[in-house]
Amino acid sequence: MTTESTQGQTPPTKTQRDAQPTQSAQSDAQPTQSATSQMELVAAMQRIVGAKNVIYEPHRLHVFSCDGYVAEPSLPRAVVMPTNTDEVAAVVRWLHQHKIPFLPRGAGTGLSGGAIPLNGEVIISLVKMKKLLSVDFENLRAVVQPGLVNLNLTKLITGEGYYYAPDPSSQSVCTIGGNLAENAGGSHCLKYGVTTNHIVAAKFVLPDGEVIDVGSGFGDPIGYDILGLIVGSEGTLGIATEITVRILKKPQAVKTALAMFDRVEDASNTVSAIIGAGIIPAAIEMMDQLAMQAVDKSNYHVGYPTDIEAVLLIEVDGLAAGLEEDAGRVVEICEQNHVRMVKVAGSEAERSLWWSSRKMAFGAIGRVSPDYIVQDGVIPRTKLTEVLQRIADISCESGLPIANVFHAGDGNLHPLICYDSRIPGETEKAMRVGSEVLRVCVDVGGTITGEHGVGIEKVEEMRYQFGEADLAAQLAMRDVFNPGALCNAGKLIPSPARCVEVKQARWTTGRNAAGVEG
Amino acid sequence: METEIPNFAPNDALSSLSEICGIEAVRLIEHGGDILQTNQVDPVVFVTPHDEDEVVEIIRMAHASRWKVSVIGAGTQLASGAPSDRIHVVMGMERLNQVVEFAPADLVVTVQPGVTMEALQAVLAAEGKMLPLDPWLAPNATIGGIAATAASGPRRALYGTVRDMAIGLRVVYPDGTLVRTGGKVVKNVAGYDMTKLFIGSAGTLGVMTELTFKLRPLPLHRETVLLSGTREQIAAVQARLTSSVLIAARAEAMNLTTDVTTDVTTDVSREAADAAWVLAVDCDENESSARYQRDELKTWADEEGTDFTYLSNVDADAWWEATKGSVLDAGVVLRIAGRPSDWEKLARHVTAFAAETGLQIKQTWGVTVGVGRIFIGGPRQQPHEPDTPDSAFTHRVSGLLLELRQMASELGGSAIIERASTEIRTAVDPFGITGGATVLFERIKREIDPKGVLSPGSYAGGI
Repeated sequence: MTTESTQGQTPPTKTQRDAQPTQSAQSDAQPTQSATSQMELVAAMQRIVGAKNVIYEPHRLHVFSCDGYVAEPSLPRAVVMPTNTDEVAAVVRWLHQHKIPFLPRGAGTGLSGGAIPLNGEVIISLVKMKKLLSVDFENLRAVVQPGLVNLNLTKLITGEGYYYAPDPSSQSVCTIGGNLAENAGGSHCLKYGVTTNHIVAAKFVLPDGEVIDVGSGFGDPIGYDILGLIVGSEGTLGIATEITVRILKKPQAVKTALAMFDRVEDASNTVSAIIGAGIIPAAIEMMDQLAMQAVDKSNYHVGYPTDIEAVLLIEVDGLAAGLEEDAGRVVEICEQNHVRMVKVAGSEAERSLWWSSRKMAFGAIGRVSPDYIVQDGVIPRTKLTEVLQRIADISCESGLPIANVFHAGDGNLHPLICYDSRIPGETEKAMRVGSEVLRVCVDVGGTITGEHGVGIEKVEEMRYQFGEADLAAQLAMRDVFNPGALCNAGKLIPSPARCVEVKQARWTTGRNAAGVEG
Repeated sequence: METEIPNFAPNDALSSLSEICGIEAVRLIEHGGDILQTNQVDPVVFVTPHDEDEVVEIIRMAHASRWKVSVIGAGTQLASGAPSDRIHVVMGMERLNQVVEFAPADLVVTVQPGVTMEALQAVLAAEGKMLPLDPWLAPNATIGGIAATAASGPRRALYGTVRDMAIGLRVVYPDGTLVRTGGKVVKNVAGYDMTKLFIGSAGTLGVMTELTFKLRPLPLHRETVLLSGTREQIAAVQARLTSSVLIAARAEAMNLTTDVTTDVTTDVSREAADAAWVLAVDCDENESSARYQRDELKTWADEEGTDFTYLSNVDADAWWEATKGSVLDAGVVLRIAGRPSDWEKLARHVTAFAAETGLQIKQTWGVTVGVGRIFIGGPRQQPHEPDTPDSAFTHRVSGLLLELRQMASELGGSAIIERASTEIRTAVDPFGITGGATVLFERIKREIDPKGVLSPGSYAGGI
């Protein structure tokens, strides 16, 4: 559902192959489960959405037991695929009346477990709601169903010269509904902002089945900014069924530079210096040596030198008349910061290769490590050098290699912690290392997640960043929307009241690891 | 939300509050309406805390004593929203006026709410940065007030609004609990985006004590192209602008002359018509790009028959300041939202209305974003001035608002009061919202402020 995806890009990792969904999550941890029988549930769902749009056979449910976060799978009770707002509302209303937990799901590319049916939820899959409902070029708006794939929106409007700006790396598969849920980012949000800056209104099904309109197609929302709260709520407040987004005119021109640095420090200083010079590039991406090695082994071979520490991919866009100047200034700043080699792409093919090499980097790590965990901390960009050093130290101490591929412009790190789940204890060690990295990010004034979301994965790490009062305020908002706690419970915000569930989740992880050992 | 407290003793409140903030920070205002810009005749205690701890103490005391509290900044926007229920304590944030943390290289700043926009921009500009918000307010408007009202200006065309720039808050809840939202980095999806809940909540959910914003580099080159002509000509240019690759940092169609007594497009001389509408298009890109954009606009100006001129850097800045200054004293401000392509239709209606009623009306429309403002009347009416719920002025303004609300809503937009006398805001609902979301507003208010401590009755939906 969110930004960086491994799906469809690499063979499944060891963990993906071996992890078995736990049935126990269903039977043990469901205080709210009603006595409605599976047969009644399936029949009711079939009445609403038609027989072909309900999946309930156990062997077909397995694929829905996890999303891009594979460590804690759990089977759903059923999967329902509505085709319009009325059907979503009817499904939710019925589940609400029968006190059956549910959650929404897009393409399942989320990396933090937001779409995992931890409580044996009924999954409301939005993949069949993938229409572009309307587009208004004159006024720069499009209305889409939540299951429309991010890149498909751009493809549908590119002929007229428009695009949808948020561009998570998984954009060829992830959906706009999922992007809304996760407040997805991407490479170009340095200049253009993240999903919340591009969604202006939505039709929204509350967890009791009521349908409301939130936001405002133009101008400002009147009353509390409900839409602002919903974007990034990870499917815990309800389900968006029609989404109005801003579309933008494609920039007249783009220039992309690739800059190689002997030292990470010089690359980091370059990032700060470019921003300091008053230029906001569309994107500034960084990769370290381990990541370069991995992508050079993939189909997108750039041929990075093996003795440089960092490479920057810097893109400026705008009016053609002034772009030469901006690109020139970027090159100059790289040179002032001891760049070994800097080059502006001479052709669209070259630019495209550089970007593919960056966007496929996560997948490529699979070629150098059997398993990896990707983290998503954000730091003030001036702390890049310091934090990358501390991550290197953590890597050294733990013995686990960590590759770095990330959005340097806005300080959004993606440390890829490499491990081998076949080695006893290494999965747990990798998770501990991930947690340590997030602690470092928070310590320097940053956050535990910039675009991948909290989900199940980082729910305990929320405590690094927020105090009890802050978390209680968030939980209170969840209760306002979702008083019965049926919609995607147990994620995003840790709660003292839910310690049983947390324990359950930990136990689940442990058992998975044991399964892998076996 | 709660019944009136039986015996509010202003002098007792005064002395309790002075124990928190010191006697110099507390005073009694006999006629509460004087500071609140409402018709309240009962007294209020006006308190100006020195720091966050004092804010917490005051709110705790108010919560325990069942006082109703309104929070104010510079007071530039008090004549907005519905007139609130009886208020006991007014908390002025003027002493919380520090820039807490400014990290130029990170493009992030944290400020206290009482910092004025003017002061903040000066601090930022010294390091080549800016907060790209330019609301139609006096320069002494505070950051807290701007955030609480989500006040926007022409720069939203490129940079967005307060909700896009605010990334974190410290908020004192109505029971005195201090809550942190968001963070201090530009990308952050940890937990709910609670910051958004408080932006534009008009002080009805919490008291913001610290606000963190993303910043932008101060454009090295700033240019404003001015095209003047008839409304139709300006609309033709606007349509070309919206579908072009040009990068308009502001794009505002303005009719700021008030001596127009008839529809300028049909009657009066061409010269007067030319002077009537101006389209101002800013470019914040580098000089070469600005030149290209200027040339392109010049071509369109020639083709559509409008006059053309442009201003650069400090001249452009000064022009915008003067333009903004020319509408600050309007007694009434209405805000319309709709499709950019519909602005001309709405503007025509407003002009016709002015001709019909003889009211002095100025208009400005953000033509790429679809946000318009209607400024009515000369100098702001003072409290207790002649205006009555039945007066002709109140009647006309209310009528215009309802007409525009009807038109805008048929076109998928909205119309609200941003500023007007208590009489007007009593005669007509300033917000005019209906629908399912209002139920959520009520639930949110009840959850966060069950005792109705903060400005009860003043917000959208009567919250």
